[in-house]
Amino acid sequence: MDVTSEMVGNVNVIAVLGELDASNVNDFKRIVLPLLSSPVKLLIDLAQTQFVDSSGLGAMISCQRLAIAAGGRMKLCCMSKQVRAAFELVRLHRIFDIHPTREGALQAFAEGAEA
Amino acid sequence: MNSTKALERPERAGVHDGITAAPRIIWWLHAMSRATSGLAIIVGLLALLGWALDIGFLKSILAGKNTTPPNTAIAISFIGIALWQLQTEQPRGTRLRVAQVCALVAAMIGVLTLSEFIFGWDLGIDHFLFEDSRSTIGASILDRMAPGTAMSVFLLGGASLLLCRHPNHWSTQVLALAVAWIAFLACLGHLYGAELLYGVVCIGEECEVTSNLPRYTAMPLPTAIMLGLQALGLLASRPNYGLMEIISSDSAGGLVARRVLPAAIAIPTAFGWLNVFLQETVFLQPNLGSALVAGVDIIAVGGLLWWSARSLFRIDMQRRLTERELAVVREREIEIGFRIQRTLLFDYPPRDLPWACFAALTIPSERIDGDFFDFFVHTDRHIDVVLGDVMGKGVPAALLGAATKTHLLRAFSHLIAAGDNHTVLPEPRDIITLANSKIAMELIELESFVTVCYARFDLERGRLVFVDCGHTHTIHFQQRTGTCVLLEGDNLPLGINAREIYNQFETQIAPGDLLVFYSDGLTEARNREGEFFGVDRLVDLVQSHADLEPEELPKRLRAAAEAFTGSDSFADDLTCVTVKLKEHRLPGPLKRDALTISSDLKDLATVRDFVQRIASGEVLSEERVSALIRAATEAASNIMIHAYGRRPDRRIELVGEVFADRVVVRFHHLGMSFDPQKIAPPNFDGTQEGGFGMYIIAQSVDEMRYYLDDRGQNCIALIKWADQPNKRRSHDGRDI
Repeated sequence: MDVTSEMVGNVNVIAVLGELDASNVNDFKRIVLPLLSSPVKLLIDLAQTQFVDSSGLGAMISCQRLAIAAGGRMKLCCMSKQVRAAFELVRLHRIFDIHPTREGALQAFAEGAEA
Repeated sequence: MNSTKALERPERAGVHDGITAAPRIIWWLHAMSRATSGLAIIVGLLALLGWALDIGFLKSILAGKNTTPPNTAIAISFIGIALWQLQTEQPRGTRLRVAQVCALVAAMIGVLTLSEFIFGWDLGIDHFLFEDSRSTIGASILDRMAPGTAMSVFLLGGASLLLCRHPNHWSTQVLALAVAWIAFLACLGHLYGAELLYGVVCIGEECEVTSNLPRYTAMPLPTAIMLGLQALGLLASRPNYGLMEIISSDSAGGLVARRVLPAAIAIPTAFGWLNVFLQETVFLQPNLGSALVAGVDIIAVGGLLWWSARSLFRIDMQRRLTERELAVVREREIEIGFRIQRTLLFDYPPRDLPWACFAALTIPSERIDGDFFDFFVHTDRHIDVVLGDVMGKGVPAALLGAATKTHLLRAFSHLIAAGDNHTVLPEPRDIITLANSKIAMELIELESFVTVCYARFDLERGRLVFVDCGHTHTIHFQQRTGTCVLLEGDNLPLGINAREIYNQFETQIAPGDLLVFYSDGLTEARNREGEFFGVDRLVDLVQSHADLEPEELPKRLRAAAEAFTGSDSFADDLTCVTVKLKEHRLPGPLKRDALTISSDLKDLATVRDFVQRIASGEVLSEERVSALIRAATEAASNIMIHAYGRRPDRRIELVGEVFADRVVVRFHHLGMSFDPQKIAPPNFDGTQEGGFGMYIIAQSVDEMRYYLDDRGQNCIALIKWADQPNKRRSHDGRDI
């Protein structure tokens, strides 16, 4: 698994490459969680993510909780069919703001800021 | 005991079971008895009144042309009073005393008068009351009552006295019959002019000596009739006892007696008189009359007999018809019972089980059976077989059999409801112990008991668990050794001891094994020499026919038992259940692969590759493959994190198998085992970060099993079935 981070406007876009599971979920957390100490707009791009297991889902939940606690927001985008199946299995699609494309997600952040 | 019997004895002791006295006839007999005694009292008192007031007509009321001796009048009226009092079956107090005194006086008059005749003395009793009763020529025996009258009065008085003491004694009826006969002979004498039958008429100088007999006074016709009526009245006063029992009964005998007896008296009397009349008057040839009378007599008696026979014939026909109808009704009831029993007592053996073949045979001895069997199919690998034998046969035994089955099922459901884990089957020993404690008292009261063999086939563990309640020993043919073993427990039958604790025993069973449950009707079938069929013979038979088709074996056993006894019916109910364990070979996997990984979380990717490699492109759709991969990742990380506590240097063995209809992935490991059922389901509100693993597995595969494998390792097996045909259609895009 590999994690890349870039700033697109005021949105911090995190892309996860490869498979996120119990073996590397701590690496993921080590990279992402420090970003959430300030109010930040976080978009996690899962386009290159082939697999997410239950610990990966748990990491997503803790990211969202910390982001909101710090006054920021978090969105997900570009899930593959398999990854979305994992989210839907534990009904997490209801608590995450999931967008099909990165552009759509960024626009949603922008509209949210205006509103 | 005796006092109870005395109390239980019906008041009408002479009446037999099922035959009752006809109430109408009883009423008539009582009425007649009352009328005769009333008439006797009136006539006797009138005669005495005649003497007292010197009224000639009344004096001769009982004597026709002559005067009635006062003693005759006294005796007849006193007997009448006694009988009037004795109408009550058991008179008491004054009533009894009056009856006794009157009867005693009458009997004394009779016996003293007889003694006067025998010893020739004059006791003065003949003129005791009325001096003018003395005849003009002085004291004479001619003023006395006739010897026949005296004898009759004595007997009737005696009979009345006996009735006072013994209300129903047969001797009183014999005495009354004797009097009736004397009186009737006297009447016949008068009718036919045969004077010797009622005495010698001998009055003064005109005395005609007809024989060497002493000269006695005659018994006048009215006296004879009166005495005869009194005798009949005495008989009629006890219509339910002794000789009268048949006459008053509503049976065929009573009917015939009532028809024939009057005719038996009237016909000879009439023809005797006719004979005399004809001989004296019309015919010149003296014997012609006798011949003619005999001829007519034959017709009359023959006709009477035919008439009676016809009545008997009709009654008999009616009775046989009723019997036949009853037999039909009973047969029908048995038939219904038989059908009910087929459904209640005998369950059909389960069919189409993958691992065993069941067959059953039952031959009831009286069509309805005290044997029963049942099959409780819990899962296709857990089946209980119950075979029982109720002591006794027929309907009662069948009912007890049904009750026992009900109690077994009730105990079963009670134990499930009371248990902590509702998916665990109650143990056979607990089922039997509970059922016995419920029905033992009833069975003991009914003086019956039930032998039962309760056996549970547990194919998952390859074991047979059984409880033997005094039943015949189940035969277990083991294919491995080729020999038979008798399965034997050590418990009492149900219904002997309500507190019996039942034990269960276990034995290994394997494919190819055969189990034979049977009732003792089979082993205790006897041949003509009285020899038992026996267990040994049965065991030999099972051993030599163990390779037969399971359905064939019971038929073969029956044929053998029939050949042995030389008959196709048996003295006791005969029941047999056979269970053959099939060789349970599953088709092997189409593809199999194995891989050993470390318990390092880094190897989770290897797990995914392994599952992807073995499962994709085979029987599962892409979507189902990724679901299986998801489940496998969760299972592996569970083992690494929880079973091995994150120690990375342990081993996990992966086995993947592809079958025509499913893919199976197994994880064998030596970490701590954990119970997946104890893990609470997660909540989905976003507050919980972990604990989704088990839930994901359960949602992603069709079946998940935890067990110890044959090397003692923990094993988790994940099973994903091939796509349903309708789901495939949706992939084809038609339904989307």
